[in-house]
Amino acid sequence: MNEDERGNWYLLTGVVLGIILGILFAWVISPVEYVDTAPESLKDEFKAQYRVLIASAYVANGDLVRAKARLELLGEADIYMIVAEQAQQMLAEGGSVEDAQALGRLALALGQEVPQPDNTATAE
Amino acid sequence: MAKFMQIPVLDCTGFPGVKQAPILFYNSQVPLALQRCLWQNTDAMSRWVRFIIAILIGIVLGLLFGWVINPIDYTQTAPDTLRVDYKTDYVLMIAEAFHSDGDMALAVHRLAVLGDKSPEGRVLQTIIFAEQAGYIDADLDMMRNLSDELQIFQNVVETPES
Repeated sequence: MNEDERGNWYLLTGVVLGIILGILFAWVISPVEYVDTAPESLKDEFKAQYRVLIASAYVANGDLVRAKARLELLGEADIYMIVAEQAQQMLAEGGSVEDAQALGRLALALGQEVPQPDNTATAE
Repeated sequence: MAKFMQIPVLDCTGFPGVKQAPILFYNSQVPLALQRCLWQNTDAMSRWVRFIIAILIGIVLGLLFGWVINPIDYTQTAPDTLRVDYKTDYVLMIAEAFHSDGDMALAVHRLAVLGDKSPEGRVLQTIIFAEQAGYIDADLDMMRNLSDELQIFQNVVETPES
C-alpha cells in the first residue's frame, strides 16, 4: 500500500497524541504553580480558617472597619450570613467554642450594620 | 568469495516507479543494490518525520491548552501562595489574636499554614515588609511582640528539661 492509498490520517493521529501528551504534562507532571494569589482564590477550608482569624483579630481589637475590609478580600457576597452560618456550623459540629464565639461576635457586629427592611411604609 | 556471490541482489522490479540504476556493486559487476531500492523506505521515513512533527505540534497545542487556556483550577490555593502583603496581614491578624488570648501554641499552629519557613522567619520577614510598607506603629509593635514571644517559646520548647 503506498502513501496515496494510506492517506494523511496519521497526521491527525499524531496531533491528537501530541495534544494528549501536552495536556498530561501541563495538568499532571508540571501543572501551573500559583504564587502571589489573593485570599479570594483560597480553598473553602482555608477561607473558613481565614474568617476565624479575622474574627479573632476583631475580638482583640474591636475594629469592625478593618474586619469588614478583610472579609471583603475573600470575595464573598453576603459576608454577614456567611460568618453567622460558619459560627452556627462550628458549634453544631463540636468545633472550637472560642472560635465560634469570635465568629458570633463578628456576625453580630456585622448584623447591626446590615440595613433592616423598613416596615413603616407597609404598616401605614 | 563464493559466499559473497550468494548475497541476493535486491530486485525492485515489483515496486512501481523504482528506477533500476545500480548504485552499489560487488566486484564491479554484480549490483548489490539498486537506486531507491536500498532506500525504498524513503517515503516511509518521511511519513515518520511528519508523524513526529504532528505529535510535536499536538504537544504545543496541549501545553497551550493546559497551561494557558484552561490551567488547573486556581481557586483552590493555600495560604502559602498568598501575595506578601496578604501574608503580612495574615501574620498581623495572628499577632492581634495573640495579643488578646496569649495562646502561643495556637499562634504557631496558625503560622504553620503560611509555608515551610520557620514561624520566626516568617514573622521576621513580614515585619520587614510591614516596615517598608509603612504599617502603623501599633501594628508593628504587635508583630514585634509576637516575634519576641515566639523566640522565647521556641527556646523553651528546644531546651531539654533538666
